Amino acid sequence: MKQLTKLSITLLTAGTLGLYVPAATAQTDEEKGLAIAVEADQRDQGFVDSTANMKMILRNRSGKESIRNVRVKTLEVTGDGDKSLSIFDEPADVKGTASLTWSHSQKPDEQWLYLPALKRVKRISSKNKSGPFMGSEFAFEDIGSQEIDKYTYKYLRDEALDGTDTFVLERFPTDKNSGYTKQIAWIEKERYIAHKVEYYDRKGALLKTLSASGFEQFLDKHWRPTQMDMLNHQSGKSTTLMFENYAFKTGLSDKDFAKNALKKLR
Amino acid sequence: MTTARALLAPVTATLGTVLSTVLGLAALPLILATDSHAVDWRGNVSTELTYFPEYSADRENWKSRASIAADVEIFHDFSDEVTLTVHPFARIDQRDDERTHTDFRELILTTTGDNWEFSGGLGTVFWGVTESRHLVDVINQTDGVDSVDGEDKLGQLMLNLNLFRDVGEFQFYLLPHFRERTFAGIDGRPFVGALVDEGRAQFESDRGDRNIDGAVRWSQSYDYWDVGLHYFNGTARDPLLTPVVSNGALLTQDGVVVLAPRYIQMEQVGLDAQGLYGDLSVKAEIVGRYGDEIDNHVELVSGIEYTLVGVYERIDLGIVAEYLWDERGDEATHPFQNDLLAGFRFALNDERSTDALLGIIQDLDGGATTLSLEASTRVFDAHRLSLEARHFANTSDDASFAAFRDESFIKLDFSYFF
Repeated sequence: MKQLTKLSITLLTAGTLGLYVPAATAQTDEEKGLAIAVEADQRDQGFVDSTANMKMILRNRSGKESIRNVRVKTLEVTGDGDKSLSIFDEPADVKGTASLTWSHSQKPDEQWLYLPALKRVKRISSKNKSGPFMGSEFAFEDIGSQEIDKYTYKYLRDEALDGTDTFVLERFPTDKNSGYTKQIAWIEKERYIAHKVEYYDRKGALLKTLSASGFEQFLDKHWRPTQMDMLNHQSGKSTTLMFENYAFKTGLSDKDFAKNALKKLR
Repeated sequence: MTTARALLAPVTATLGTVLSTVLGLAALPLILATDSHAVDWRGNVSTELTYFPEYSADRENWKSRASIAADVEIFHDFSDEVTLTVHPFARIDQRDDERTHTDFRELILTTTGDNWEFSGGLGTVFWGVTESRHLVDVINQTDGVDSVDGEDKLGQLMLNLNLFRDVGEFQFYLLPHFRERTFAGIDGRPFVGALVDEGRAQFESDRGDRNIDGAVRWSQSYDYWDVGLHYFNGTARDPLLTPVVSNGALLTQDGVVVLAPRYIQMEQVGLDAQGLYGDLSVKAEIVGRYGDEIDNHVELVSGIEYTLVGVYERIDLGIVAEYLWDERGDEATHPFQNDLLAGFRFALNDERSTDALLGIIQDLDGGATTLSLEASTRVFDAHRLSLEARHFANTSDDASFAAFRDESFIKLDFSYFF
């Protein structure tokens, strides 16, 4: 009896190995795409929290600019989506307005808006992913927390993008409320950071291109762009995001990302 | 000449009050600027023009009114734990002396701990979830002269303790000084058909406006629902208005019936809840009001808001429907005993943050119809242009709206923000 058991285990182990080895050598494009996304995600884990000042420059088709200034704070949540806070400083008529998002990987995100003139905290729908953020060319889903579960992936090819070796992969949003059918991302091989993303609308046509540049490293680990340019090919409008004063591990905690904290923000 | 001086006297008196407040305001940042980095402020100065297409029941000989207002919120950090908020407001109105007024919306010191917060001073607190009427929002008195929608509030003297726990947020209020509602004067519009004489205010409480009111609230957020429960014991914010009888006849001023406000004591228990299911939001506010001088009764506002994202290009359309009810029916002390609000909210999501809200409130007992349009857009970089239009229809069928027959108006507001 004992011998039989031992034999079975040996057979089982061999079997598992036998199945595993060929799968590894013939990794599908989907598996390779996912593996790249997982690697990029893992390399950025452990930032704990971060804060930055974000300046948005909105340009219409004739080149007229309007400026937004937002302070952004993020709290890393292990095992679920991150929590984030945006505090609006400019334009002056929205000064003091703040939005709080608790993103989740398994259930819908929770989102609140603070309206300072009314002292009112209003719960708002997080389903509106495709809508423009502050009238810009960035949709809410473009600037939200990028969780692995929010897409399925497919590796396309290796490509040199302006002299940088990149993996090119497709991402398909799993949320049916996404404004996109797919995105194509250029991920740098060395640092696993996205240099360029193309967004395809619900009809499958190219809608926008995002270019990230001026990467800086923080805590010897986390790479962040200092500039992101989004060009809308269909409307001719564009938006530039400039990031300043990045700070990590600033000591933020859950209570800074609580609903009741919104009223006290300045 | 005598008439002109008599007319000007109250204006100059109120102007004096406004000026002293404005000067006080100007000095405040200097007083506070002990550490210039710790002082933060925001505010706006607005110019408003209102046009009434009809004369007011042959009472007034004017159709347009100008007004300017300033609203400044100054915030000072003494440390991470202790903060001061100073939030004065002032308005000067061309026509109505009662509308020319000043108020501290906030003048409050707050200390913050790890999971608690304690404040003392004049504060503004908002409770609630619905759009058409705010039933549970019982802490602050309405500043009735600023706008007709009741969204403007007077600062309330309070001691407030908030506790933040896993089971929810607990708020405790001690409200030692009651603020009377402000009412338009004899030259105010929209004219409500009678003049409320604040000098004749009566109180059920022996302590008058020094009755110590109290309130407790618990609120919590769940995955799909935000829920709040509260209890209030004290002076009702809504006064009962009764005609003043003098020598066996109704007292009038310039041919207008004079009303005296009476502030009763009441207990209020209430629930507010908002559920969010994708683009559908479900809202309800329910209160029970109990007192010796009112019929114990229940009032309700409940409805939905459904958002159609990107209905045309970047434009979002929100559809709002709310039902307003008062158990007392015709005996209710307000016009919303059985009414329906239908509203359409447009957000253009453009670089000017243009939005508009079109609303209709219909009295379902065959009464008045109120149509409203509110729209605003950003101009230049720090200015906002807003339009508000209200039209009162079918007023002859509704006693509480009869006076609004000729009071429809269009208001343009141009505000500079800083």
